[in-house]
Amino acid sequence: MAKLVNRIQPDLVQQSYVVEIAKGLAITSRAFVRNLFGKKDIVTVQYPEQKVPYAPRFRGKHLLTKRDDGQVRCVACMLCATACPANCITIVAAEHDDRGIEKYPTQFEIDLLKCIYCGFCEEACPCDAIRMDSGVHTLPSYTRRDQKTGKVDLLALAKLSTASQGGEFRATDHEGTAHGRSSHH
Amino acid sequence: MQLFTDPILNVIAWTLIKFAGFVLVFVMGLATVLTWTERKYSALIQNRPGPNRANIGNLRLGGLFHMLADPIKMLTKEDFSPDTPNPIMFRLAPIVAFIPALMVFAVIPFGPGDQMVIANTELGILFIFAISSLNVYGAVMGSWASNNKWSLMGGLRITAQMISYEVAIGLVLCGVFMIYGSVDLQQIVVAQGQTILGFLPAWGIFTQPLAFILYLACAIAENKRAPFDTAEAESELTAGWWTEYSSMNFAVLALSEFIEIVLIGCLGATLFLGGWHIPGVSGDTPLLVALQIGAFLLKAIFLVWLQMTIRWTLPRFRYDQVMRLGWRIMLPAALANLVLTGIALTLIDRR
Amino acid sequence: MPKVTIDGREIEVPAGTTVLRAAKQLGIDIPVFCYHPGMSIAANCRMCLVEVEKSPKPLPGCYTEVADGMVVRTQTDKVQATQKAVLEFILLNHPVDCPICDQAGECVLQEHFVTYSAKASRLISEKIGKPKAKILGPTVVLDAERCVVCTRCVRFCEEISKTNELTVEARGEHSEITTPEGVELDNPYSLNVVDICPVGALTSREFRFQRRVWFLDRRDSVCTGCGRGCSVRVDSHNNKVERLLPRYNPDVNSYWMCDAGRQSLHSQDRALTLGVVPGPDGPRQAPAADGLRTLSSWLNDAVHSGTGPQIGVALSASLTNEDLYAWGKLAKQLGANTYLLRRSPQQGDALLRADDRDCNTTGAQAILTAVLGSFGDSATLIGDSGALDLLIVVDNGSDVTEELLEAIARVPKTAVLTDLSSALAEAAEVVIPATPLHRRDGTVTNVAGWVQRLQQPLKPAVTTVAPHAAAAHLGQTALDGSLDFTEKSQPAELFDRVAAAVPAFKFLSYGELADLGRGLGHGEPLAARRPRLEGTPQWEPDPVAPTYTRPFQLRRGA
Repeated sequence: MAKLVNRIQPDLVQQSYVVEIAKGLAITSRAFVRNLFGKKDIVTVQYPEQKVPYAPRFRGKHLLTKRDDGQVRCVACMLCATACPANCITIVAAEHDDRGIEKYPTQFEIDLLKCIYCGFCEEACPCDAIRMDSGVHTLPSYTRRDQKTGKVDLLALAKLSTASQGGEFRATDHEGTAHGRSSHH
Repeated sequence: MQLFTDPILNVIAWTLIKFAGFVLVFVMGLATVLTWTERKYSALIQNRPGPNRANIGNLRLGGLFHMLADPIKMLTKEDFSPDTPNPIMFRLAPIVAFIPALMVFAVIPFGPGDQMVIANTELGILFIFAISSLNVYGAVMGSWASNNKWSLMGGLRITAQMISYEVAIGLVLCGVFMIYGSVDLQQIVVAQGQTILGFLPAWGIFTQPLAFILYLACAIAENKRAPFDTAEAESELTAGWWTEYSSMNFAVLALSEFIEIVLIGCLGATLFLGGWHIPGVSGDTPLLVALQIGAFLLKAIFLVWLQMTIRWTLPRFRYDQVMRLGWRIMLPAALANLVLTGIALTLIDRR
Repeated sequence: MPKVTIDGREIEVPAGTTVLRAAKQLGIDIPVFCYHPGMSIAANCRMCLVEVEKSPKPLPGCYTEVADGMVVRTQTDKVQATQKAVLEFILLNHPVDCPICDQAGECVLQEHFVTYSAKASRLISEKIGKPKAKILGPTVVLDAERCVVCTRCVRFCEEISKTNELTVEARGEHSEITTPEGVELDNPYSLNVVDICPVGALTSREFRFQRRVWFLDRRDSVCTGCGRGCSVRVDSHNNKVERLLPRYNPDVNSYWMCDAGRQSLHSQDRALTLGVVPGPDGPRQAPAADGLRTLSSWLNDAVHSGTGPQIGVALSASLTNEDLYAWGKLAKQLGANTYLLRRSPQQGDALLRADDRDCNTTGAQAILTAVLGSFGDSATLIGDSGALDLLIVVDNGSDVTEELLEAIARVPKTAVLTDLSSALAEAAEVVIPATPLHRRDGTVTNVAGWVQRLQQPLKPAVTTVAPHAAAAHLGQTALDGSLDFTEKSQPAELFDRVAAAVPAFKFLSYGELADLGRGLGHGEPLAARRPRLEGTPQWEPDPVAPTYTRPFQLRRGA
């Protein structure tokens, strides 16, 4: 049932607005004087000198993690590009010299203007290769082209990932095991 | 005081001096300060720090240098012109809006005596009406020449709103003329030097209290400022007829709005707050004259403050509400004020 | 005929039919790895085990022939347990590197695992390592770890290509596909082993890692690489062909396709989107419309000048039937000499590759004969070139010889309508970009007289024009519309005219050409037509659709 709202029936004095406006002026003036001289109610954070800390699960700019030997962890499986609802990930794969790695991305491009920061790419990644925990959210640039972030740029933010690649969830993983992923086998 | 032997040169020289002192220093200076004050004041009302970044070296002074930074920014920005068939009209519009706002200060007396006004004419308030209604042409030209639907809608609103409230404001002020028996502003101020009932100064605010309230409302509406800023309503029309203006064109428009705030203050002080009068003091020593000029300026500044506070207190009216208020409340109220004043004056005369 | 009951449903099938095929006819899917309808049955993967009444053990459905009164069950607990066990066994040493495996998305093992097992591995010891990315030949690379040793590839090389390059080495879980010492997998049909490989063990060196298969857009079409005209599936992405795969067509190519045909997609790299027209400041690049305008003003001058200049029209044998009909009609109206340009023949083979490298010679000859009566070839064109005032070449990758170029140089005005940049195009004054065959619909007739539709073309570039539309345009602008078709005429409408005008095409209709195509009737009504034509390889007709590639789900369009 609809909630009935009591409408105020203004009397003549109220309808003339003069007194009511005066009351309003008093309120704003009081706020002005208090903020100018007395106790300040101002809560503005003076960014960039002051910053509000990010939540630990904040999704910022993407990063590509590295293997122990500093190589890119990504195996160019394109599952992130498949999961991406904004279609912003472009990967060009190539044969790796190391037969054990086999496939790696020669190009890994994210169009940050298209990206909606949903985190599906992180979720889809079977190798813990793409992450969004960089904490970087200021991404200004002068051109649209600059918003297409390439592999080098993404690796610049890189962290070392020691999650077992494509393997089972192991409680002994580094970094509190959060990045191990289970698979079918 | 004679500066030149030639009387005409003398008049011109004095006029220029008065113009420089009153308009350039006080009016323009106040308007410039207001551009920053308005933002800072509104910020403090709303629990924000307001503009505080502009600095020279480590000196910030709470952002006072924004007054300097803004003109520099405006001057160096791209002077954008929309793709319009009327480029000349587009350029002319800010000037047409700006000049009348400055011209009206010519007849406002800022001190005692015939010399304490830039152009001592008997036209007085009629001159103000005549010139300030030119203001609307700037808006019409600018909004039309902008070749932009927001601008055009803003322009239509302005035109209707300014013309509507001009009627009301004219009738409101007629009451003042009836009381003081003149349209010459200096004469009106002199007449306000009397007292009524032995103690109350015969200021317009006491003799015509309803007229004062109506004047303030109509004047704010004329100036298109909140709560009557439907013409540049940001939430609906981007910036109304200012949408396409940038750089110094925009600065001139913004400045002319602040100048009009000062004008409303000065005119209100002259008509309703006793002009340069300091209650209970009379004489013509230079010190007193200086004090009286100061009193006038203070009264004007008080009214400016009042306008700003009203702006940051009241929410915007809807456009139809503005028009309804103008025609169905303001105009009848002004007429009623006129009739009541007439009746009162007749009764007093007969006694 | 024996009557069998499969999952409670009865069916009567000819003697010798296997349980798997009988079940398929009932719409019951029995999972397989090693079975392939185009090759002999190995029954080594054991995925198709089914329960047969009175049999003590489950029997392989692919190999067991039906007997009268046989009762087969494919869904029992026992069968399911068997399938789970078989899959666990197959996956024991499988690396499960689906993310980097190119087969992912069209992998039979992936599909079967999800459908029939979805069980975690119980292996506790190390998996057996085998060679990865081992190059078998110029086209194919092997990942032995992923191999399920179904031996489809070995059987292909034995039975179809008959080249015997592949073999199985070692035993048990160490079994591994390999080539004998010093032998490479380099037969002209080698890439078929990639198609038939149910897992990601054999991959194409060219297509490997180029595109995840679920991004591909599938279209049915016809290979135009030679006169065989194999039915193909065109996989494209972003309106660009990424690979060609054979499509089952019992009358043309069965399940197979040659490597050269797959390579024919590279012609798109030379595709023309802008032509050349002469301008006041010399030749400039221009879309088809500009070139047609120039050509039509030439033709106008030629038609309306009293002297009657000699016009030549040279047509490639690799155009569609509709193009050839339209141009033949136009040439007839213009009173032009017509020449059929053919590519030099190749050394074909008994399997698929035809000697003729043009995809529509049969159709071209039949249509031009019917429309024009007589026509020349490139030799007559070279001979006539001195007498010609204007030459229009409608090309599609013809062989360009020195003589031909010299002959063209002798003609004062030459216009070339072509989809590929070539020496011919460079020699011409006007070049009009044509829409390539894989970007438009139409029909082609193969060497055995089998007519197929190109069916599902990719999007053409707006600056190009289909040759039949170009002919119609020229007819309208230069011949005052005296042709019986217009620029708006679709290939379907033109084909109806072909069927009406050309005896060989009589009784054919455009609609029935979709999917698998039809043979030329040579004036006989449909019922009298032979089901298979002379010169076509004799494939076993297959009553059931191929099961070896499951269609993957397309996630989004190209």
